[in-house]
Amino acid sequence: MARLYIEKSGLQTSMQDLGRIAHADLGVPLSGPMDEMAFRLANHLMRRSSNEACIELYMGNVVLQFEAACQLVLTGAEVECRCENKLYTTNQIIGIPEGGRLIIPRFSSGQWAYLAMNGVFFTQTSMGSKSFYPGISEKSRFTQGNELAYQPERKPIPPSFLKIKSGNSGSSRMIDAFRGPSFYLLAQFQQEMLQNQPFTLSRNQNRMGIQLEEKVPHALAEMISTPTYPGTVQLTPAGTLIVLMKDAQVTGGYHRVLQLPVSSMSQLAQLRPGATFRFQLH
Amino acid sequence: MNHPIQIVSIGPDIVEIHWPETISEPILFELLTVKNWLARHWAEKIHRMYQGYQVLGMQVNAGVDTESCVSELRDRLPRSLEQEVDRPQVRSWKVPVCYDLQLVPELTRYLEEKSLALSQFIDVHTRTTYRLYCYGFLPGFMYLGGLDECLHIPRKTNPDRKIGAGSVAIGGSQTGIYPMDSPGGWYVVGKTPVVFFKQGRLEVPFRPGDSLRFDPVSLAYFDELQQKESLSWEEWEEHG
Repeated sequence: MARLYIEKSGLQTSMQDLGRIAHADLGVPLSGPMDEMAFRLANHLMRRSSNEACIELYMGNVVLQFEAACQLVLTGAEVECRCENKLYTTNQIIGIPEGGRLIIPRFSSGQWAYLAMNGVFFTQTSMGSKSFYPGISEKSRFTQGNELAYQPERKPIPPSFLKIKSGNSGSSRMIDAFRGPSFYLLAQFQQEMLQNQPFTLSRNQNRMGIQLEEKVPHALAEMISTPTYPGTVQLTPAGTLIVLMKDAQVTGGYHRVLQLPVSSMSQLAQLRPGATFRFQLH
Repeated sequence: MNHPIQIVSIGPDIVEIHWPETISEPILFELLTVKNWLARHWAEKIHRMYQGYQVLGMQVNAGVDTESCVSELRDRLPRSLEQEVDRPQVRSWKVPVCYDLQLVPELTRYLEEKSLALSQFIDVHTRTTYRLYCYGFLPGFMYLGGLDECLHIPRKTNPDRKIGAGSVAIGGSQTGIYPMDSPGGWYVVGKTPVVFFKQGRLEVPFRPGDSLRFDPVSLAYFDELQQKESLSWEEWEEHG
């Protein structure tokens, strides 16, 4: 077993697997990767099972030191990582030598990235998952000086010259969405706003949800709390739209106007505040 | 079947069962019966089960077709409700709560806003039996029904940055316990010594359908309970 030392932690670095499947009826959020597509790709490239825990990074600016040699891959956001004067792009297999230092600068595009290993990271499982969540996991994020145990796989993955195009650059700004239960309660012009109007991501976003700038004024009656899922788009009494993400609470008292599939949540997670998109309703 | 039920699909992987939009015990028990039935018969289809007051939601596994789930449920649910074996087994609990102003100085603000005397407040808050409808907001946060109308108070317009774990609070027409530290807009009115989390595990025996009463305890007894290494909820079950 070897150790990974976090020399520079970045803003919001955490462990994520596919989340806490059980216990939603005890109020436990799912958690898991903000960009699940990139997370799955990372484990796929490292030939791991799809639920293997990866390190999730937000915006970059992370430096890691590895005690033992290992292979890694970084997926999701666009960034050029450096290790021992070699440069590695997103989705490329990174060879870390013994004592190697991996420098991940600020992402050039996108917001979330996944670091998977040809091997295993050892972190605590709490309530059936390694995903960090405040109050349930030991930590809610990594900080400078933290250490993490890992076991590199003995058999290396042969380097591939196949270049996997990253999904972020010039990604389509159409976001697939399905109608939520309250969609049908809206007036036609409000339904059309949701379908036709461009929406802008606000700064008000975290692992729980992303608030949008444009408002959809409405006169819907207040409602009692109902289940909410990752991907549920809520409409607050003030007309604000909130896209619920992976750490969102499991019930909510706001109207549920749309429901996004995992692929749409992944797309939105990578768009920075100020970016615009439209919902493509199915 | 007592109540009209609507079964809908949302997107490619969510199926929901809706009861009429009202908070009612008969609806809760009907919902819980269906939930138990689903746990027995649909375990291999359901990825994650969600529960609100009158909505049961399920995320189905990849490859399960939601439209056929909807039609199958429409066929089978009426009969499932007749299954005696699925009726929820409800239990009754006492939850020790200390209302001492030394421990809970914030209670003064609530009492002032409501123009209530401390003894009056404790009397009303503890004489009610609350029904646990569902969990939400935070892991382990219970949505309890039954708060006496004379204790209702609008939520604070500016939420507090931190309400401590174990705080018993009132917001709007609801009362509840904060299982972990959290920002919140409710008024803190008491404190329970019982912990909801042990080493990252949620350890509560309460299940939707159960009933809870708040049992007033002195500051001295609160301290004693809090010092116990592992205070078991089992001691607080009420029988008969």
